[in-house]
Amino acid sequence: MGLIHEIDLGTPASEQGVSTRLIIDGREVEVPAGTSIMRAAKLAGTTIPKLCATDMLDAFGSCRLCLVEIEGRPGTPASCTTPVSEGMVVRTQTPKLAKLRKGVMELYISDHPLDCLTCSANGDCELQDMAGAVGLRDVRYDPKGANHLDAVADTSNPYFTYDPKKCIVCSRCVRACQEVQGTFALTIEGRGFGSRVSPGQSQPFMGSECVSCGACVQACPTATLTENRVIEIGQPEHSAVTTCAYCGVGCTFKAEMRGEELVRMVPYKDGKANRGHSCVKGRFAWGYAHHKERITKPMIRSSIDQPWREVSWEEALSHTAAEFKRIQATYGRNAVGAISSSRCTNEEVYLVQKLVRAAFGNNNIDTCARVCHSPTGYGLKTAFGTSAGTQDFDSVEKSDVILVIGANPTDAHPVFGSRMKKRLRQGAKLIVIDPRRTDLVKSPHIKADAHLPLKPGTNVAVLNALAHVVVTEGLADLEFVRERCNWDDFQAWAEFVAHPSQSPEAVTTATGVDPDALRHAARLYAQGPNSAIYYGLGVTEHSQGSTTVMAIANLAMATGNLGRPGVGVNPLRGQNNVQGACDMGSFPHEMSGYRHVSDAATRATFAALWGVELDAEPGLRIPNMLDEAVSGRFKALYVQGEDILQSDPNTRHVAAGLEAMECVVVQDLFLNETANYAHVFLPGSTFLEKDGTFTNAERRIQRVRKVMSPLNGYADWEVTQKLAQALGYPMAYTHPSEIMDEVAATTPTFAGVSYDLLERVGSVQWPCNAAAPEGTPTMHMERFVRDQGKFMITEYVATEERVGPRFPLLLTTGRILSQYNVGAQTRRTENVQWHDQDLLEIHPHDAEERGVRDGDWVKLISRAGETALRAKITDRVAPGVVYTTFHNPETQANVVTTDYSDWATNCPEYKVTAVQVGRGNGPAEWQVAYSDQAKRSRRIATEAAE
Amino acid sequence: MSEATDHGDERLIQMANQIATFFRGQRSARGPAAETADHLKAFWTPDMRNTFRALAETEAGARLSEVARDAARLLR
Ligand code: SF4
Ligand code: SF4
Ligand code: SF4
Ligand code: FES
Repeated sequence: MGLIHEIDLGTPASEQGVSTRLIIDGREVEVPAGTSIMRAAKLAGTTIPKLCATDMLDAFGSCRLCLVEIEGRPGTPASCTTPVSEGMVVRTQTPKLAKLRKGVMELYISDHPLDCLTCSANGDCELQDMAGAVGLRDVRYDPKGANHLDAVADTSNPYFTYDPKKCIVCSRCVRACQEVQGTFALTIEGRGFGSRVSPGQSQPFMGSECVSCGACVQACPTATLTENRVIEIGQPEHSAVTTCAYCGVGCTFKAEMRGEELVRMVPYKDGKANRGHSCVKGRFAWGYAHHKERITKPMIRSSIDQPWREVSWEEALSHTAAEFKRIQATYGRNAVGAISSSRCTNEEVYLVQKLVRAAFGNNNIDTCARVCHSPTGYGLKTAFGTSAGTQDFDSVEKSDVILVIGANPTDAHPVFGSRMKKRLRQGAKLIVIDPRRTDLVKSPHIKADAHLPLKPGTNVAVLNALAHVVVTEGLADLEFVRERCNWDDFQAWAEFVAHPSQSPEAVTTATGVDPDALRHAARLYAQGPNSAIYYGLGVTEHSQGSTTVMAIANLAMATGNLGRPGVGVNPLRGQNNVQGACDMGSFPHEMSGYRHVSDAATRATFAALWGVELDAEPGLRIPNMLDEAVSGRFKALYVQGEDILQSDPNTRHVAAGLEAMECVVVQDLFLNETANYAHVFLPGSTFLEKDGTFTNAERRIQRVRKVMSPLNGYADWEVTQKLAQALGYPMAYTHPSEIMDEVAATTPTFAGVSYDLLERVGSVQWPCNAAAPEGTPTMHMERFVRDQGKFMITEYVATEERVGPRFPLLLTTGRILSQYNVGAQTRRTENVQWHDQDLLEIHPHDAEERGVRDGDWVKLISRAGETALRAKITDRVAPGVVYTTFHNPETQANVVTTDYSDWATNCPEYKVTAVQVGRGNGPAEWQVAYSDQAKRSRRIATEAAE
Repeated sequence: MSEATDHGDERLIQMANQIATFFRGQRSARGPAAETADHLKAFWTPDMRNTFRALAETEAGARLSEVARDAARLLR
């Protein structure tokens, strides 16, 4: 196994279809029109020397190394900027070209420190390669002439170093930051010989706009921008392609290794979700895998006030099995359950739900998708017949209008955010519906054509008003509706939204949205021609989450924006494998492939294979489990890779539920907050330590590949399997591929999926079966999965969580780029340098009224509880609205969130809590008490003690 | 219903009302109570449904909307 080398074709692929024939070095070549000579040559197997070109970026033509001769044309044009033409005859190697190229190289080398032997890029440097390629043997310039060899390195970024001594000013970094990432943090400062790359206004990287995505590092052909890990430990020697374990974009990376040590993660150009790009999390924030707080030995304790005791795997598993059996014998079969994780692989999730249904003998299985995208599942299944987004990410490249509602892709789905921004810079129109002025609303070279800053909790009213404009102004695509949707339902819906009470003018008091701006947005969306909706948790995490999803589906159907590239309804999933966790049957009412447990045929399939009778009744959801625990009926829980104490709403209620249980088993990398209430701790493994698959937000199933042995001894699926065995239920998989084979054999939408297929094609989007052997990039092309699209009436119902004199402000929550969810991983990396605490964003008016200054401690109080954090005064939020993130256990924003939830799925209403904010003088009392208790709960007994 | 204890029952009532409100607005030949009852059968455990049905008969039932109360009767 060696390093995977991706071929650099020099310039991006041409979009033009017509094929063009030409002769390069005597060989006939056929490529699409618009292709550069450089790319055509490389495709035909001829490498033209180059420095400033790379196929991730548009050609620039500055280095003059790629010159060629073309018959019948004067001079020596640059092959990267010259497109092919029919019948062209090109020569890439002539004595004249050799001389010119040597001259160019000499110039570069004369201002370059010749310390190749000790350079960190030795063996991975394009300048070095080019010196070889052009046959450079001596340099005629005086090495003591003017040069940049004294320039000082910028080491401010924790993950990479900028060493200007080695810079050849090819501007690949600058262009990568602009074209690929869209941040525009870098410029070339100065002119001619004096020019240098510079972040911002001659700032260090950390002081600039840089978001540490790594695109510039990857683009740099020299050692100027280099990962610190490479500087520290040297070049990698082998690599494997794997998938990021952070967000639902699902970027693929080459994990570049030295033995079992990870040197760096390099985004993979063939990755169909990320197309060679990355964000700071996937690219750099994997140091948690070897963090000193990682637990690698199983532990048990008899009560949660005891210190932990390290035990063998056998003891931990037999103890757990005995406890679960005892509890079921005492309190009944339904007194136990499990929670699977969207961070784990499909195979692991499938196994946990199998454990519950087959070995526990009930359906008490739920997943953390409950608290994020369960309304997506319910809403889209109702409208279209499948619980998933309709497009692939490439689709955005064909969109003319992009409507983003309740999502902040540049922070939460950064690589997709960059791809979206690229399309916007090409001229697509943008509508943002969000209470906050997110970065998308205005950032370098991007400005939303409409921003509707609605009051939190009024999504449905705004969407109905958009639909009102579409219907009453005759903008609906009736032909599409007639052909593809149920016409009677449409008419009922159209009548409902056309009612004057739904007009933008009528709802403005409730929503706070300017009616004219809303009408403008509706017209933009309806006129497309290709309009796409992207949404996130700002849609789902409301008491009307499912209704909002349906309202979005209605709008897309009514305007015919479904069933082709460039359009669609696209949920941006939070965690890496939320889609997969849902697909694999983690909900208490559904088996894999979204089939209800009451369906006899589905149950029969599994019963035959698993050798057990299956319960036909739905089981408990997470909030129901906690309610039942508090009522004394639910007693034991197995939680894999999830921190419900921190991530679920109304922390005190979650704590009360966990405390009431007799056996809580937590399987995780770290002693997370939930583990403070656990009796058994089973150490987990990281995505680097196991084989499996993740499914991203575009339904794309991608491989996760093991590159090092698990520190804890076992991959998570093996632990679940051992637990099943300890319970007396046989499981004997020898590799996750066998689990996927079982999924394929039992789940019609996955029938064609196998590790062999993934090996062959890289990744595949379900449905993947006989009808679609290589998967389905765009859904509902000819017809909806449920046959006819279904319009639902989406009446706006104000949440019961209302502001009043005691709690006059609305709190809404979100996340930021450098941190990930509860932060268990990212807080254990250098990413803390960007975000070390949660802050409360508050509008200057509201702050002034309360005498709060920027950086002050403030108390945040709701009906559910109280916490304290520091204030950040900003007009990003509207008056009356405050905002915070939930990345730190010390803040625990969820202490204040309530247990109101989506009517259909119980997805918590994180996005709206009525609060009061007042000046504080440090952490709240309970925060201090909590951190004491957490510390006590994390004690691990040493051999001698106890 | 601020404290954690006994809020299980209160939650069932609140959730049932929310569900009933949604189906009250829909076009359906079978009527909103039947749709609500179907939803409860599809997503609530038998224990939750039993508790809810019993609750609907007590004075707590007064806090249920008409559709939710009819749905409780259909759960039999
Ligand atoms: S790391 Fe990314 S954001 Fe920062 S300068 Fe490089 S390309 Fe730009
Ligand atoms: S830092 Fe690297 S990519 Fe940027 S101009 Fe210098 S050599 Fe080129
Ligand atoms: S965008 Fe998401 S999947 Fe991609 S590298 Fe960042 S966190 Fe990972
Ligand atoms: S590679 Fe063509 S000019 Fe630099």
